[in-house]
Amino acid sequence: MAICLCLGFGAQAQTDSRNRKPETVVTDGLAQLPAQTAKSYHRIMGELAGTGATGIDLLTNMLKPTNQADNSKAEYAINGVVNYVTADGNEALRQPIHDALVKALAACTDEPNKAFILTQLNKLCTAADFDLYKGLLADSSLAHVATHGLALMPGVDDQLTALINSTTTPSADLAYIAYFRKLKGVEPTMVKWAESDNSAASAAAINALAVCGTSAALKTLRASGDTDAYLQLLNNIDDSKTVIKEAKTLMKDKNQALRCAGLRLMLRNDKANATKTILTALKDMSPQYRHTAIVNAIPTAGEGIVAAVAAKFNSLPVQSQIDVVRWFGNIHAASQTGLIIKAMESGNTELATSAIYAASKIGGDEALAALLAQLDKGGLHAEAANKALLSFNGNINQGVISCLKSDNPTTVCEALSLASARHIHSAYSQIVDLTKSADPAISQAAYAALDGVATDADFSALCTMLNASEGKSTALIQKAAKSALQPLSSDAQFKAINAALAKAGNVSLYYPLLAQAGTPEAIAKLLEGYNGSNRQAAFDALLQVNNPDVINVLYDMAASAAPGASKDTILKRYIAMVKKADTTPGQAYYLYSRALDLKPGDAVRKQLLSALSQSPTLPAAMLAADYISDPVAGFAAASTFASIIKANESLQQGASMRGAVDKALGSFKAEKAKGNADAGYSIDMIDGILANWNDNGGFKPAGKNGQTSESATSITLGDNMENFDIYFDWLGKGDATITLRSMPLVTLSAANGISLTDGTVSVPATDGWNPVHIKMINDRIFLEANGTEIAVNQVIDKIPGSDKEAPVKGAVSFASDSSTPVELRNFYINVLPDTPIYTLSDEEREQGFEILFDGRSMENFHGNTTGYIPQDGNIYVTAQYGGEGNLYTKKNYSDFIFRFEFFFDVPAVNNGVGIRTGKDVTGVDAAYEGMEIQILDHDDPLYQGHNYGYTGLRPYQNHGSVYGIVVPEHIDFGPIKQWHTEEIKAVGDRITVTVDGKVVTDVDIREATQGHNVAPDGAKKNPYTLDHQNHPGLFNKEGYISFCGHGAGVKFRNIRVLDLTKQQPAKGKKARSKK
Amino acid sequence: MKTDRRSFLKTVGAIGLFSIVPRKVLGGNGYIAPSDQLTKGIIGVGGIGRSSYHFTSDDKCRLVSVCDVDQNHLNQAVKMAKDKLGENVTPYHDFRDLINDQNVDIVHIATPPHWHGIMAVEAAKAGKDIWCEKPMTRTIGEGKRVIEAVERYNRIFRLNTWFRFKDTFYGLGTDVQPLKKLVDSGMLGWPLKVTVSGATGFAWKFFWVGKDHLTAEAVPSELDYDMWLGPAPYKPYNPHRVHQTFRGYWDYDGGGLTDMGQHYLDPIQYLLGKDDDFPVKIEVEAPQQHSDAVGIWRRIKYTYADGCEIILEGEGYESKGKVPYIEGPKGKVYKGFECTIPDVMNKLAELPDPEPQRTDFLDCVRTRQKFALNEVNGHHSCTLVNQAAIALRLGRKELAFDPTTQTFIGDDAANALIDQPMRGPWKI
Repeated sequence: MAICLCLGFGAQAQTDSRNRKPETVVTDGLAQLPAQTAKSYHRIMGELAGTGATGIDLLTNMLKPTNQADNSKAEYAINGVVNYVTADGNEALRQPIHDALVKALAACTDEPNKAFILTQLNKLCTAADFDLYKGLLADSSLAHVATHGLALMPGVDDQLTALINSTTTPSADLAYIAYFRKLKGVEPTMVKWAESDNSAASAAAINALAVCGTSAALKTLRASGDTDAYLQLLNNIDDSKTVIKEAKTLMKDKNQALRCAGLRLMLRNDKANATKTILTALKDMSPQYRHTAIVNAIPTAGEGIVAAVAAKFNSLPVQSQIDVVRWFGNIHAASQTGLIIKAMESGNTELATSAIYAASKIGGDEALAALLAQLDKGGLHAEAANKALLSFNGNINQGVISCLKSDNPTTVCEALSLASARHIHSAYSQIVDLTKSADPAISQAAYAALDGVATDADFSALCTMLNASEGKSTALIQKAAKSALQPLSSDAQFKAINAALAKAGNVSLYYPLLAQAGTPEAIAKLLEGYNGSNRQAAFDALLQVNNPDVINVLYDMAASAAPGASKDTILKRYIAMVKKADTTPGQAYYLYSRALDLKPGDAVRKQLLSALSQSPTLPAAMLAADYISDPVAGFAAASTFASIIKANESLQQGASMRGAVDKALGSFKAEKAKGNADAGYSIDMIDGILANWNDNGGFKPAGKNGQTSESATSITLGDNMENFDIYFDWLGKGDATITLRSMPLVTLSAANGISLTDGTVSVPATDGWNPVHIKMINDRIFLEANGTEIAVNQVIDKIPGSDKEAPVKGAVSFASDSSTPVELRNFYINVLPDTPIYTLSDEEREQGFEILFDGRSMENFHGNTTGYIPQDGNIYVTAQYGGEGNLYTKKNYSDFIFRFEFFFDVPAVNNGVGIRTGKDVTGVDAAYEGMEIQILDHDDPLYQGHNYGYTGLRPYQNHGSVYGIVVPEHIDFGPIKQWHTEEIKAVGDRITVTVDGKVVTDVDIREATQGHNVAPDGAKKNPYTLDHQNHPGLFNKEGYISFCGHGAGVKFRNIRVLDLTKQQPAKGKKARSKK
Repeated sequence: MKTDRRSFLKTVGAIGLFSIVPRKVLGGNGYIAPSDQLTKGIIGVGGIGRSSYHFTSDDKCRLVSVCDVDQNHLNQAVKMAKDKLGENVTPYHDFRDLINDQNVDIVHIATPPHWHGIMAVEAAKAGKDIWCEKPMTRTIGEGKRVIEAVERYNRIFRLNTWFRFKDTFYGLGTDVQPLKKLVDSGMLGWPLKVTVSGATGFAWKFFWVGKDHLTAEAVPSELDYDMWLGPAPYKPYNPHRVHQTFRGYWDYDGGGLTDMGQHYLDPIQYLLGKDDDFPVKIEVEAPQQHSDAVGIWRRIKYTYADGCEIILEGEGYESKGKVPYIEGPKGKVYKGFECTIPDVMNKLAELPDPEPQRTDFLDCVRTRQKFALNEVNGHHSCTLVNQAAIALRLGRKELAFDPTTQTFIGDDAANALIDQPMRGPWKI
């Protein structure tokens, strides 16, 4: 980029480092905006900025009255360039851009466009623009934007001061600028304006005086009624005497906030008396006033204030004492531990609890002992002390252990809870002893505490306790046992539990533990119980298993449960586990759709429909669409539907999908009316999709009479089909064969599952609905059933069971192997276009042409095969210009005939055929290091020149030119989106280009340049070429043939080449001399 | 003398004569003394202001007034207050009238962000306590002004996002407290890298974008558009600029980044202990932004002086697979508190909990203690989103920031966005 900038458009140079005219740079740039990456943004903006004033002229001229045209592209470009040149290091580029904006502002008549241009100029304006801006303040529609500019304009403080002081009519805008810039030297004027009867200017002047006034403005501001301005001024005044006087008055105000502000001022300006002031303020009845004293205490009175306040603590009212204690805690005042401990004993609960929290923040042995002692008291004191100890600033373990031995049952219970929370493992045996306490409260608290202190070493002891347990303690011991095992792996947990089960009388006691282990073996054990005599306990445990392995178990449980709470509870867990599992889109659809089939309650139905968005597939979209009118889950369904079609472009077409889109739109509109912001964005998103909607194509119901279901022993979808995408749910009964392209390719069998006819992978069929997805494109098949992929783009080149080549097209049908009908639902097909396969004409074959691209394979090319992709039989250019590379043939060619067809998919698109760039050379600019035969939608208005500046495309840049060397005959392409044929013939120095059957270029390049591809004197400017550039590679002998993109949106097809050197080996100077 | 319910907070008798109002509420019997009952007024009763979380009234805090510049919103709010809360609220068109209403203790700001700063400062000046929706302010400069004003008048300010002290943190599947404890324990080592991404459970509202071409439309009669714009530059009306979709325009907000950003970033600032700090470097990868309409972004990285990093992964740039939420030299922690440190829960339980935070706003108002998320730490986390928004708007790949002066280093254009002039007569 640095190089590009250095070589960029200077005042003299007319082209950039790639020899492009400013017009071309602007056009290339605009076609790529908005830039999609930071890198491309910086490249494009660097190039545009390099065009200087010319580029901005071109761009600002494109701004049409805002209500007649979409100016966004030009706005992206202008805003982008301006921001780019404001960056550090780009100073040198600013001036021409700035100048062009000034010019554009003068020429522009549309108000919003003027505001836009001025906003841009604001970022670049300098002191030289002062008069321009001064004038704009009088323009009512632009004044606020101009004010903004003057507020930020560098280096004009003096000019502004002079302007303000010489302005007789008070101006709110100028006063605002004085405020924003904190101008010195305008105070007398501001005072005058503040006192004027122009209310807007007066308010702005008061605001200005607040930040840049002196004591001279005090009177005015005090009288103004704007107390905040007055206070700001007081904050800025150095004269403490004056401030103290004012502060005293404020401290007596009725308004508490003003009293606080006054106190703050007083403290800051009278530090000598700060301690006294604070001590007085602490006795005030207003909490906010006291608090003002506290937050300002140390900054104004110094650290000594803590001791001073402490000395007077006892004389303070209790509310103030509470404030002080909280304050001491907040500042961790260790020196006041004694005071705080004493405050814990207060009869005022708020003071005591505040002291307890303060002590925990301060920490230390003394505080710890005092806090532990609070446990003895029970009630709010103990509750607060317990909480405070948990965040105590230090280690509490020894203290807690000693409290376990207390004679006071309250203390023991609190200590047990602390020991558990803090995981004091060393207290385990002591706590086990306490479980045997005669005091039921202690015993229960001890059982509860086991959870925190048990480790895996205690597991077998806990099992013994568990086997003998009764009442409430059972659940507590289970919890402890779970915690003890938790650090172990799932398998190790299961092993330990399984060993314990052998000794257990009641296995169900171990279910919660098995649930935590969650391994398949553990799930199997739980299922045993569920199907046996411990149904409820096992049910509860299965719902706790946190492992997707439990998904199918949960489904079976839900399927057999009666509708209602229990079924919904199971399904909620099911959804959570499916979300947790790593599912493919097909699996997600399968798992959620079968749950919806179980008819869950409202809340679960809504959850399922939201979760369905994990599957951006046709059946998921259609399923969601079916629920859009659901009164409870409708919005969730619409949201899922919209997110699916957004994610899956193949669903953004077709009449049947359109109906569903309209339904979703209705749901969003209703939701937006309720105030849901996201619904508004969904409407925007759908409107965007509908703007390009095509009712043709896409998925259609595949059943008879446009139905989405079908039941027959034989179903035919077509006789001569090549590419297609089919979805259906099959009711798993009987056996059937699916014929695709007249080949029996897929088997549906209730007994043997779903598979390719000769495949090894089979997915078991359920006796319910089995979702199946079959897609055939080119020579490949994709098959998925019940969420499991059976064949992923497997090549079908032979008819199954034979050596015969597979037909490209054929019948698609379903046939039952018995009298059982094939029953389908959610049955959809998308008939995709046949892939056009290019073959040579007889004539070309005889001549010896070879195919470079047959519609399917890129095997004859190298280079940027990801930016040039085969699609629908064409090469589609998706590459943006620059850095992403060109597409090259694999072989070098010198003399040849190159034939192809091209298609402009977007206006103004630019590409080119590079030839003879040197043997095996890639990555150079073919226009100069070889030849570029231009490909360009040259009649687009973008290339026609604008009001001023750009005169339009040069003729030697037109389509069919040998770029920069020869002017082709002008081709009238007509509308874009049509195919055109082209032939490029290169024989020695003779280049012939034929487009749509018409020769547009037929030139001897040596004659055209009089043999001077580069300037004879080595100069940069070459008088012998039309573009006055040097073309060092013009006379190269050979090279790859390449496509050189300047942006996405052009297609190529039927590409073939005849290598003339193979046909006529004697021809050509080099060949001859070799012989 | 009849005890006015306002006497406790508002009036002042003879200084030095101290009287204690009985506070039975502290006895825990549920009785609320009239003097302890607070009142609030909501400015902006559109989507957020009328949401069930905010549109409340109870014994502890009564809703007494509402304000909106859209007459329909205002009418709906008055009706809703009557129907759902049984309150006869005072409707206001001009927020200054609500702020100066003597019956209002707490001003709840639920407008679009371009108003937050002005309203917070005005409320502070009027001696009100403030509940402000996120993001705190639309510019860094406005945030500084809010801090000044709140301090000057000793107000209590709550910025409303709450993940630093409660609730499961979006899809992360854990609340912030155990994470804070883990970070503070040092078990992960230092410096730390935090990743906010779909992969760690955070769904940015990528679709909250603007339209880069709007045509002028007639302003509906119920809307005072000039007042709605307020300090923002005048631009012709289009419905997409206002209600709900205002988020997609730089003049009022900054898309999902600024509107959701503080939710995600504030808890991270707390976790990393950066409540008093700012990052020194901000790196942004994004498609080009329009001057008016907010677009999407791809990746944002903040770096603090000590090497701690926060990474935001945006549309199309979300890591695939398992990504740690917090990563340090000695350990990583994933969604759902899955941690590479063996037996981490046990180890953490053995350590003291983080210092409790003050999270009862009404209690803070009453006791004048700073709320857990206040104007100061709120300004810091809001600055994170504003820093990124500035880089994004200017197309900067990287900005350097000086935490002491709160300015960008070597970028005048970025600094020009710290304090943005307002459209008259508005000022802050």
